[in-house]
Amino acid sequence: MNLNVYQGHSCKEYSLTASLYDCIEDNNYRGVKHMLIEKGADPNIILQDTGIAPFHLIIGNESEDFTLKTTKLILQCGGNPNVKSEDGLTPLHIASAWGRLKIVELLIHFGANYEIRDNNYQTPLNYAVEHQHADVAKFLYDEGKTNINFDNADEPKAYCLNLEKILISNGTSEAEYEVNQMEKFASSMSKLDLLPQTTPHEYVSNWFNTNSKTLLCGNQLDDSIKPNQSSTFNRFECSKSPQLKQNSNGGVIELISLQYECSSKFRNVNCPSENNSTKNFCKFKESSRESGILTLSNTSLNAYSISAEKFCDLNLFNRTREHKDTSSDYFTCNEISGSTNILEKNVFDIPEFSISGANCVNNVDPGRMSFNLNEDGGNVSIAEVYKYTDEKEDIVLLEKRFPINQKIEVENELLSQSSKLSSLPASFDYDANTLRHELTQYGFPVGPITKTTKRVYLRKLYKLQKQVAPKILPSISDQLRVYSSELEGTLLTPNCIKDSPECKTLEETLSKEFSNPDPSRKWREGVNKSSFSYLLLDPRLTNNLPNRAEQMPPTEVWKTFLESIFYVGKGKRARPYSHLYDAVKLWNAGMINDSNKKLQHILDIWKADLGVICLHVFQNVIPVEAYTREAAMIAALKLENLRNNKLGQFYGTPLTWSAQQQNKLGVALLYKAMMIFLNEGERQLKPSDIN
Amino acid sequence: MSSTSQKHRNFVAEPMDEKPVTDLAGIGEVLGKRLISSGFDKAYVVLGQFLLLKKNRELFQEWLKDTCQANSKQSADCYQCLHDWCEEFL
Repeated sequence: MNLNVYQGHSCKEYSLTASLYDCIEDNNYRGVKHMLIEKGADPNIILQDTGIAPFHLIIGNESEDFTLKTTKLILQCGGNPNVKSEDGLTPLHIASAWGRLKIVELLIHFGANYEIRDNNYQTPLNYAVEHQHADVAKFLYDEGKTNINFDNADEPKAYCLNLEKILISNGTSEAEYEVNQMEKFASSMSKLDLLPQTTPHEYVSNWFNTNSKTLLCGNQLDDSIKPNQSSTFNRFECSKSPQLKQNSNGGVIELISLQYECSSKFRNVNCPSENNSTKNFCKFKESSRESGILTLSNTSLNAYSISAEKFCDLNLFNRTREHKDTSSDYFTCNEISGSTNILEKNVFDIPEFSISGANCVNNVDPGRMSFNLNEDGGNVSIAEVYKYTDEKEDIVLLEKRFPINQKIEVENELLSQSSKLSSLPASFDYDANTLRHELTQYGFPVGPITKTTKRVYLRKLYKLQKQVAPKILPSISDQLRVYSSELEGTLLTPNCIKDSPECKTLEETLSKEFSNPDPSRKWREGVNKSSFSYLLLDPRLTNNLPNRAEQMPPTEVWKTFLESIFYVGKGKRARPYSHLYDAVKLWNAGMINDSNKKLQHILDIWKADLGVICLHVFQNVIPVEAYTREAAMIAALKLENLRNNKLGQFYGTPLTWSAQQQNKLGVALLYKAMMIFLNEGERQLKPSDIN
Repeated sequence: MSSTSQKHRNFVAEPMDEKPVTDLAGIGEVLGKRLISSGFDKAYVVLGQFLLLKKNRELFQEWLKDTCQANSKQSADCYQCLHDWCEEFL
């Protein structure tokens, strides 16, 4: 025999395929399984005698059940849905001719090309029509239609996202600052050759640094800072040096360093100098990003204290150190003993930024504590508002980002040191009746509220409000949500998800299949890696979860996260918020009720003057992968718990998995999504008010 | 159950009558002074506060910390002291 017979395959491969063919002919599922999985037979080889491959044969099998089962198995084991027989027929042609809708769907969702032509120049659709299989014909026709608009060219960005304003709120009052106030800053910062995506944060933190003091002093610190100290703190401005910026590798680290930077700007130094009560500025360069200890050593401080008598020459402060191998960021400022000028203990609160948790080094002097408490205690929150505009569609959305402030830890620590100055804001006050009512609502047994007990009860209420957000439950969670059993099983032990090897392999299989898509396959909406999955979350339930997560047990975080999800979808990079366009149009038209469950939910959230939280996850994948991830998450959450209209569609290998495996994949994906959410912080979207 | 201090046992052993606030376990001279300056001069006044807070451990300790900067141990001792006294005599 010559090589022609085997078409380049070895004799062994050829005979394995022939045996597989025989098994299919005998309707022997176990034999097929054995040949495919254990012997590794190739179902795509065209056999000399018949002119078709085993894959073709199975499609035409009389038993539909057997066909479906075996086709799945073959697809799992490397079956190519576009394999051509001697006549140029593909399995899809055969399935269409036989009118087997389920098989046609399966093949299409596995990337079979519905436009492929056989040697007679016929497409599968031609065969379906010819054999009068209306359902199949309709399916193929629709498939062709939905895909007609998609080519593989990367669509240009159809939107722009600009920093609009900054909101600072201390619980009682909210201040808005427009961007033009910061333009000066912007121009000075642009010299630094910064990465574009990090600059807005930079602006905000810089800007906050310069403005927060006055804000805070004005609002609430008047009585807590002694008059002679009121203006004696210096500001540190950290400027990042550009070359270090480039060190940050990958988004996550960038994020961490950014946050770290944010926090580093909240530090204050308190140094009362007798004759100089104007604000002093001191700058220091901070070089190390991921890990670094900055020590203001004795020597430089001594020098500082000497010069502080007349004028704080803070250039001496410029001292930079790099420690690359330590895992925590902190810096200390040593107290100078025996200097004539009493330099009080300096306050440095540097929360360490790692995803796992925050440590901080405190060197606190009581007089300053109130300041820290007020500043770090979470009473002051900053939010950045971005304006999203899509001119073509005439859509304007406001995106409100809440940077994660991890200063909660600091608060706790300080609380234990001094409770006199605890975090109860001055404005937090109720009359006795309201207080009693509020506490009763939380199910707390309230005793008589007298002059001496009121404060204790107020504090209790404040704590309760911080821990358990007052639940304005939207209708969806009125009935208890029951998820798929796979997800239910993780509610008590969310941490086991990330360790589970099974979830890992499931996701790996998924991403492996789609990361290098086979060009011969026809995937829905092409193979352009510009899609992502998104989750819509209800802010009334999350209540800024990323900021609270630190204080909550992981099970609670996981539960809250799952409860807040009300929609799972798939989006495209070109228009990341296109899924909100319909809702915006309704909103602008003044309609507040809609029959569509999803739209109605979004409008409800906007009515409550909140924004929908859009969590974009698993970026830069091809559309079918995004669809598959979407489907897995919907399956795990169960459709009835969501505002989705229908179940998602799986593509590729996951399509052949058991429902249990699909759900498990969903659980793993949801857990990942939560991690992303906790790291990214909350981003609320709402339409801009049209006036 | 950890062993209790002599002061605790003394206090719990008999009705409190007109005992000064410093007779409470966990309340020494310094804390006592602070309490007195806020009007809590007798142990029974503190007991009153204890009862107003419905014998709630968390709230009582919080209050004590707030009023006289007691630390966790001191406030826990004081709470336990009043709690045990109540079991005996109330």
